[in-house]
Amino acid sequence: MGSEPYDLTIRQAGDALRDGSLTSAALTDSVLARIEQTQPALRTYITVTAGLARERAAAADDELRAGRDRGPLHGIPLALKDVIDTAGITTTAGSDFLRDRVPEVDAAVVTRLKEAGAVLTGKLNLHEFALSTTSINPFYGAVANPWDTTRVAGGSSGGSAASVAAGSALGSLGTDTGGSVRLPAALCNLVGFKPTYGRISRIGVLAFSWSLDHLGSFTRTVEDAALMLNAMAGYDPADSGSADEPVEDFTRDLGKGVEGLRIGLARDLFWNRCDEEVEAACEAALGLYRGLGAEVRDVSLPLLAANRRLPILAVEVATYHAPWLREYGDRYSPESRALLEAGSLIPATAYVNAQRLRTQLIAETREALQHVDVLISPTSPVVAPTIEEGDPRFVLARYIMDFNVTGVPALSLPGGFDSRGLPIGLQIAARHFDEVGLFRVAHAYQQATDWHTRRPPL
Amino acid sequence: MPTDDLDEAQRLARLRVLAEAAGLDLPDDRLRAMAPLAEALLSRFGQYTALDLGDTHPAFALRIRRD
Repeated sequence: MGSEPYDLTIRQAGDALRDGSLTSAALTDSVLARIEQTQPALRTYITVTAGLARERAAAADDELRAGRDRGPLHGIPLALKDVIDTAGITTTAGSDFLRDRVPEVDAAVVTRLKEAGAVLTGKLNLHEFALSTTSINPFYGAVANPWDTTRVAGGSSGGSAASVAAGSALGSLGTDTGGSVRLPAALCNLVGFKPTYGRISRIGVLAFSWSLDHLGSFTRTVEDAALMLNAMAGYDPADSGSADEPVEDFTRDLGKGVEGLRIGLARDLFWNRCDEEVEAACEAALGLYRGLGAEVRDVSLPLLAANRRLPILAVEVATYHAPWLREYGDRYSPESRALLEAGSLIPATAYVNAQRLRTQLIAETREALQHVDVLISPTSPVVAPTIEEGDPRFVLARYIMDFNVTGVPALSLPGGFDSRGLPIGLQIAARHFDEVGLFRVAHAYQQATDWHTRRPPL
Repeated sequence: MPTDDLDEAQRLARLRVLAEAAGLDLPDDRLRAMAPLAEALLSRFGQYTALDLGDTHPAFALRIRRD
């Protein structure tokens, strides 16, 4: 771990703000300087809001001095994937034809972060309209991986991952429709977390696929992810997918360990066709959990194994984009346009039957999670490919989409490095609305390993 | 919807029918560009007709509840 303020975790920075050893102004200046230093190589930000960030940091310091403490995110520099609306600040979705779009209203989640005292440093690069896995964006540049700048950071929330990995934000938000938070987190050695479907309001966030979209966070630690969820979770009747569920203190069980917990492996789904070094790292993680007192057992999800990649996402995204496709078809990248046009061709009966089948997949997953506490797997079967290689066959996303289909909470956390020094991600999923249990299991792993303390050679 | 026994012209013609039904007027080069993805998506259509989904309602997938 480095010694600069931008290297701190959210918890560490919050402690330093409260004991007087650091101000939000100094922390924010450190992050803004880091953005300037790393932006040419990484292309993480589309818009940097330095002036606004300094104003908010100064206000956060004034409030703390006056005895007003808004909680763990007070004075902490965070950044947002550029599909999340910010009043008066461009929100491009990584698109050519939305490059001048300025929302009038903040997204609901931005309002919550501001109320929690966060300092927003800007808007982050992504795959065009969040449509794929690499964040090779033809309009704003390919986001580079801080661990090897010739490689992709993953996607679609590539800038959200690369920024936190590089220290140009202490935490960030992304969206996860088919794994777009967990995948880049895995490739960049971060914790990438998506909650249960409906936990965080999506009002003011550009849709990708209404029934699969989740907001999620990027942090260095599981504890920081729990702190961010504490600030963001809650029912919003304006979001038809929002869950009217009680919001707990998601840090509640972090220190309880995993003694006696049951870890499930669905090997036919999540461990097949996996790179040897990735598999070895994840097997080592299972050994660690056994050593901590957890029981590891196999589980079977045959219906899910036989029915992956349902044509739900392709149909919903084609529906959302249909008006833009008619008006701005030539201003999409050819790759995105082909996806949207292909999705337009799926018969309505196929979509409805896919949603019916999905109901049964959810039931099967719920049943499996009655017999184990969590499911564990690699996040991605391979480490980050080069920008030149990309991910034309969507190999990176092989293990992650199922948890969008079933809506269970899931995260990726640092699980080691391959022989080239590239990060490997470990994926954990839990029961619906059991984020407390998910964080408990993941935190136990971080307490026993130091992968998350390593920083990229930038 | 098997397409193995169709030549390229027949496969493109089939996609053109679907595209026109969706309100898209696509030239041949764009049809070719999206054909692999569209055919992969369409190929999965058949598997649902072989499953017994009973009277499962599609909207249940969108209503997640705590156990």
